[in-house]
Amino acid sequence: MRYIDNPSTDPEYNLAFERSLCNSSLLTPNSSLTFMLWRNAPSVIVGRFGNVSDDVDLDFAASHNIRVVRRASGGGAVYHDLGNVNYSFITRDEKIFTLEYFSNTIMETLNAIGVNAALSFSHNDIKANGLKISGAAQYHHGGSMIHHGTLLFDSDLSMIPRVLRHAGRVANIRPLLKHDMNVNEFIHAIKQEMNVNDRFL
Amino acid sequence: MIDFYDDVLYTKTNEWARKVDDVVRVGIDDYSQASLGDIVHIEVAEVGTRVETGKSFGAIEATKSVTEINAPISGVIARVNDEVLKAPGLINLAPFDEGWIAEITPDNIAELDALMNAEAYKKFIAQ
Repeated sequence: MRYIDNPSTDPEYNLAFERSLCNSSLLTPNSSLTFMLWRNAPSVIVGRFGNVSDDVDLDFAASHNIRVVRRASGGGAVYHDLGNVNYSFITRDEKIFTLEYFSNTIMETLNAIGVNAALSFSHNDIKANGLKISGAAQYHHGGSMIHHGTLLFDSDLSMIPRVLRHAGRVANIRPLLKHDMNVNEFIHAIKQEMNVNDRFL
Repeated sequence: MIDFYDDVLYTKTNEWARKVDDVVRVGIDDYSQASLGDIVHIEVAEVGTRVETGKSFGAIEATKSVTEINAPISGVIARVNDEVLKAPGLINLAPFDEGWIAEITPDNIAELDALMNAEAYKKFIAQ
C-alpha cells in the first residue's frame, strides 16, 4: 500500500487532489492501493447529487466561514472540521478491494486503537454505542475507484445540526478512547496500525 | 443470475451499445446494475452534447456509490431516456430494454467493432 501525506486543509484542493489521484496514470494495477489521511478546514461536503439549498443552511455557513464543496461520491451532506479525519483508498483493483474490505480495514484499525466499533448493516457506516462515528462513500470512473470516509474524532458536534438540515445522530471517537490522544496522535496511530509510511508522490 | 444480451456490444467499463437505425442506443449492463444495487439518482448530458469514446457523459448513484457512465462511441447525444431520468430504478429492472440511457448519433459506426460481444464480455468479467 502506498501512503500519501497530504498536509493541506483546503477542502476544494483536497477533493480535487483525491480525484486527480483516481484519474492518474500513476494508478496501475501494480500499484494496487493508495491510502491517504487528510483533514479539511470547517466545511460542508455535499454528495454528487445533493441539493445544496435543501441540505445546507447557507446563511449559517456563510456567517461562520464554513465552505460548501461538492464531492464526486454519493450520499448526504457532511460537516468537516480539523477534528474530523478523512481517509481515502484509491485503486484500480475493484474486484479485490470491495466495500467490505475497506469497511473492515477501518473498523479493525479503530478496534486496535481501542474504540469498540461495529459496522452498520449497509457496511457504509461505523458505529460505536449505536451512534455513527464514521461514514463512507464511493466514486467509480473507468475502472478506478475512490472509497473515502470520515472519522469523527474531535469535531465541534454542535455545528452539525446548525449547518446541516438533515443531521443524523453522531458521536466523536476521542471520548471513547481508553487512553486519550490528540488528533495528530490519532492519525499517527492509524498509520501505525495500517503499517504505512509517509511517502510523497 | 446475470443476463447477457447477444444483440448488444459491451465496453470494459460495463456499458452496452446497440445499433438502432441511425443511432447507437446505450445503457449499463446487467452485471453493472447488479453490482451497484438500487439506483437512486442519474444525470445525463443534454441532447446535442458531443461525447467521446471512453469519456463520461453522465453518472449514476446507488447506495452512496457514484459511477460515471462512459460513451461507448463518439458522436452527439440524439435522445435521452426521460423515463429513466424520472425513475432511475428502471435500470435495475430492465437494463437492456426500458432502462436504456441515451441514444448517440455516431461519428463513425465502425468504432463499434472495438467493443466486445457477449461471449468475449463474459470472459472479460470472469477474469
